[in-house]
Amino acid sequence: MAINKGLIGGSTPLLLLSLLESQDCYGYEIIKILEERSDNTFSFKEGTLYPVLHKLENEGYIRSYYKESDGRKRRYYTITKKGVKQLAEEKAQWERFSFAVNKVIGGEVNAIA
Amino acid sequence: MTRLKKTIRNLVIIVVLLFLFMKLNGLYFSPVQALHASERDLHFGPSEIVHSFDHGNSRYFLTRYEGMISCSPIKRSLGVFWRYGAGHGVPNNEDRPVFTSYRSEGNNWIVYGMRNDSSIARVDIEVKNAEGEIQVYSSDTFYEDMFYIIWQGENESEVLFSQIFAGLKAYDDAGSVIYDSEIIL
Amino acid sequence: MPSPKRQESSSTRESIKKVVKRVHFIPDRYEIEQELAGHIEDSVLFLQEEEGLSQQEAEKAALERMGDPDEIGIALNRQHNPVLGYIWYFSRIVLVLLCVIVVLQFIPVLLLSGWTILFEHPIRDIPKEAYVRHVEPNELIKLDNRRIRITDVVQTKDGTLHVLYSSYNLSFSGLHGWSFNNLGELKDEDGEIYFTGSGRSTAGLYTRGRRSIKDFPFDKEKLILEYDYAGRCFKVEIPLGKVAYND
Repeated sequence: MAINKGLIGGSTPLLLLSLLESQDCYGYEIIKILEERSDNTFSFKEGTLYPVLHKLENEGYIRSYYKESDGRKRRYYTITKKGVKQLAEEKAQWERFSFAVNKVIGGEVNAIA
Repeated sequence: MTRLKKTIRNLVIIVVLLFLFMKLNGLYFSPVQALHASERDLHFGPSEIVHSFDHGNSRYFLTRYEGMISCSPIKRSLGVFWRYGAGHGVPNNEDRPVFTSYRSEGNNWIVYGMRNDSSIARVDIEVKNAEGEIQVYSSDTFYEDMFYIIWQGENESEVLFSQIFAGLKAYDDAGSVIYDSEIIL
Repeated sequence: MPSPKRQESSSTRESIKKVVKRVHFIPDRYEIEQELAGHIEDSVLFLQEEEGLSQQEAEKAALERMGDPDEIGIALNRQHNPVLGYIWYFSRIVLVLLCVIVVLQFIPVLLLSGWTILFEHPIRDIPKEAYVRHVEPNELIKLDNRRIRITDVVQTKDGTLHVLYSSYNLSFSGLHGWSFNNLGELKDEDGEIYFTGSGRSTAGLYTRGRRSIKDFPFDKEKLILEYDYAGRCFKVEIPLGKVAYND
């Protein structure tokens, strides 16, 4: 099941920050990891990643730097301290959100999950 | 650091540097500030500005302070600023119906003064030009009894005022001469 | 290792140009172009290797995967605000310029003032053997923004009276202006004014100077510095003590 959207709505920052928390990545790498980890659930127009990355950088949650590998200079992104805090916030928000949704659609059993 | 933070940081540093730059070069945002600052360091003033006028790249201030008069030019600098410069005045000599002094810079000559006799309506200055001819410059406008006469003449580095000065005459409104003098200072 | 030649065809270049055309802050365009070009290159390589597409097919597919250039460009433009961009851009230039100018102008003043504070001591020019009187009044003269401290008064065998002082200006006009060290009139306790002599002082933020007057009588016991002009005045009285006759 492929969710085909321009951006994966408001949870894109959450996904990106979470990826970057474990390792620094460059743009194309992020797309590949997202596809792989989500078993291709997340597949969207690749170019739309960059406005989100640049926004996160403007907000100070991630920082970019250039590194050369295989003879090519690539723009890598790394998470900042502020970004780590923001990630924790967004995770908490996501959990509250999905918990509430589950409660509404699933009834008692799912609410405990 | 985000671009916004960097910009703010830059602007703050620019303000500090600008302040230093102005201090290092004696610059002020207003000519009156520059005038009073110059006066203060000359241990004069702050004088009362009676009239000001622009001439060339400077603004001249006709001022009064403690029985002294001055005509101080403050030069414009870099378009936006005004530079610390002249400031001191000369004591008025009330024994004379008209008291004058002069200033020169390049080819600009100014005679300024105070009428101690209020019946005076016009002051004429006679100067010799390069060909030896006498030219008359006059003023019939008084700003609280102060006046100025400005003209373009020879370069001040090439000639002394005493060499070109030929005479001073003051008239009342009927046109009769009240004061005629060969000395100006 | 030399970087591999970027095999961009015109359609990739065209698409990227379409994207950055929407970015109104021009200085950021190059970086964005590079980032997108790199992504497309990686994508093309992957499609050729993993899915066996030809160069042309892979490029077409890669560009399709990227999405609509206009949409991407518009979204990017929102993150590259031209107002902030240009302010930042010019603030950098102005900052560097001002820094250079200020440093170039400030350093000589600092050096001069530092030198004065450390090394300029006009009193050392007067040989101690010549002293017949020496007092250290430590009196401060305040005249508008100027502060003049009379540190020493020395009289030498030849009758010359030297007044040594240090001076600074509260409005820092030593940075640019004339250094005006006015000690007023120098008199003795009977009102006699002394004119002839010499003066010497350094320039800069902090100056030290010496004013010497000739033939100050040995039997006068006070030096008075008095100023009264244009609404300002001060009067400093310095007791000189008696002359020590050593021979």
